[in-house]
Amino acid sequence: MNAQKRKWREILPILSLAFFGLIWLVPLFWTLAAAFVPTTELLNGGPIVWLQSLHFGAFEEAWGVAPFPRFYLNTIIWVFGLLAIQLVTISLAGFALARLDFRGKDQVFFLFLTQLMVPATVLILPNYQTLVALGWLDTYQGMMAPYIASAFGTFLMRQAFKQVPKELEEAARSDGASWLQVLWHVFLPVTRAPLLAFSIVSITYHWNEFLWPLLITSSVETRPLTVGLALLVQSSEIGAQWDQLSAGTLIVAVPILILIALVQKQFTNSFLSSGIK
Amino acid sequence: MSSKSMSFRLIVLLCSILLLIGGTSAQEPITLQFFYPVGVAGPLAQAIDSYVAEFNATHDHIQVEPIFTGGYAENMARATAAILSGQPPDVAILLGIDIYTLIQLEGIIPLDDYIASENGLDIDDFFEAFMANNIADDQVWSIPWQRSTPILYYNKDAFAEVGLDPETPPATWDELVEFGKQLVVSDGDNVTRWGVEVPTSFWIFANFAIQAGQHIGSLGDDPCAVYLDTPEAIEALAFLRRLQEEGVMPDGANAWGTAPADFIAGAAAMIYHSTGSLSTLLANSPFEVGTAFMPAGEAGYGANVGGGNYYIMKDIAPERQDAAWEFIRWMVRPEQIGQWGIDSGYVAPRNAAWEVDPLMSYAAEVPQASTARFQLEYAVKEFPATYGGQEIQVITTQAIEAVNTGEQSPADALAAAQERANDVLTQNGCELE
Repeated sequence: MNAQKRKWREILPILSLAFFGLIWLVPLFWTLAAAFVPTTELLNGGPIVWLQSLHFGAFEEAWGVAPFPRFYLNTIIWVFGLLAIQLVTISLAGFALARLDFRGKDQVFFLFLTQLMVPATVLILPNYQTLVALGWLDTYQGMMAPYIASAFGTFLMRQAFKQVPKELEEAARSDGASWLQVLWHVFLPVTRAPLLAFSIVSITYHWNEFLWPLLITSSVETRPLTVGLALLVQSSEIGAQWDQLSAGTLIVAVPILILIALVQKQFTNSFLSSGIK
Repeated sequence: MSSKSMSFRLIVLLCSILLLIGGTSAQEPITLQFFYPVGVAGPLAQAIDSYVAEFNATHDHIQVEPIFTGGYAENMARATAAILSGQPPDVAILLGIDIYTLIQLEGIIPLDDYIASENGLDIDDFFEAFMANNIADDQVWSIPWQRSTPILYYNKDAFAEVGLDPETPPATWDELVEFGKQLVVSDGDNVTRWGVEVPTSFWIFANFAIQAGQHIGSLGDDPCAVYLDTPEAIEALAFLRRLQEEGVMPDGANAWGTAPADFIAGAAAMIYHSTGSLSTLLANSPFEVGTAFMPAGEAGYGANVGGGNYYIMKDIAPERQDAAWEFIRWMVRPEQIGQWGIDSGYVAPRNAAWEVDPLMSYAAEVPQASTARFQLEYAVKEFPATYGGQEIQVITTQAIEAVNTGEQSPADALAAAQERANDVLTQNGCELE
């Protein structure tokens, strides 16, 4: 009796997780189905026996709509280039706000918090004008510029650094380490979890970002994947062509899905290992 | 921008001009920046790129750089940002209804001098309804390009199945209800085929108001006029609600994008939709697709138009404007714009295009393609060609939604919408009584 109870206690969470997991899978399933099944068949009802009449026509058409290989490269450069810069700026800024004493520190922190509350789209026009003045339209650095000082990342790192025990820092200091060495050898190793968390948020956000890169880029050499996808989703005049739209969605989303799947373990592990006693 | 950086840039500009004069004597080609949006998914961007490539190959002194700028909203956002930062494109396709906003921004130039010049354009050859949104202050500001209008699509097989004549689509509102009732198929309480699906959209609703006798937008040159709470508009919206109450149309809001899907799937026997959907519907429907004028209301047939036109920007050198005009003129040649009509599903906006190949043969082969052209006789200016037009679109669609979902009566919803529209107009400098 007791053993059975325990068994249920183990199975129940798995069952409920599976249930919610299935709900999450529904849109993904439909995207796959719509991409591989001819539209006429998809819309004309009946059970979807999509393994029987697999077709790749939608992929071929979607792939031909934009220079996707080049767009992949552009997206990778802009997303990961930006992340590299952000990791430097947010660790330095977070460290300064958490551990250094200087005049106006609270005011600066307050400013960062206010930036968190301003939606990025509101700033598109002033940012655009700044880029014009800098001559940075249609460049990678222009796309990255507004995000280099991430308020969210700075806030996250400040909170993380605040939790690092003073003793660790003092020990390093008494060994004669400079603050940069303290940051590198003491703080960053124990804050891998928030750094990784920030990285994932940053990568997915900018991978999916559309309006800003669309507005400031013009050439094949700079435009990201989402601009290619936009060519498939414009349906203001007609109803969407579901097969091509789904194929395009997969072209854009699959790499990021794979990345998240790969990093997921790392992600949870780093949470566990960074636990400070 | 500070005046210091301005003067610095002026000096740089002067130096580079001097260098150019001293350096080379050969004439450099003018490179034009051309912004275009795409309102239809698929290979349309490729079509435009290929036309531009052909233009560039045949013109030594002008090279056009086409830049895809997303949908209409993003396209306008980018054009606005570019105009305000003093670096506009040279030529752009923008919505017809954005004309007043663009004039307010001082972003565009009137084209009358070009039209009347030696290298001009027979502007009277363009359909009147497609020119209505291009004229302000008695001047022509843009040339029609990707233009559309809604029509009625119907499933001929379904008509035959219920004993209706597949060659006689509904001609009036009452027939729409009557035919619609016959076309409904139910499985118990569950409707498997609806009679008609009218998307919940300001652009479709406007047609019903015109058919009832009073357009919700201005017919003339008045950027401050919106007529949402007239008896005709209320009657039109009440009719849309009646379609639902009589069980002909699905309850609740009907999404723009799902109507074609429902039509193809046989879940709706008739739909109101843009001509732009024609090729998708013809290619994917496993039955014969009929097209017809939207049924007439008390005031007869009526339609409004939509889509984008070519504009030439103001803050660029005169020789660039000349080059932009040459480009536009080349793009709207009858053969060229006819080809565009076939590639895109848009209605070729000038008579001459329909009288030469390739469009002439195409229209003979696909008679459905001509329905929209002939309906243009009853078509008027697109709503809302006002200041703050994009906001007023949203307000109007929300009012229709409130009625389609049964939350508000047509009169209440439209009165509230009129009030909100007035606020938007007043904020944009309109003086309303």
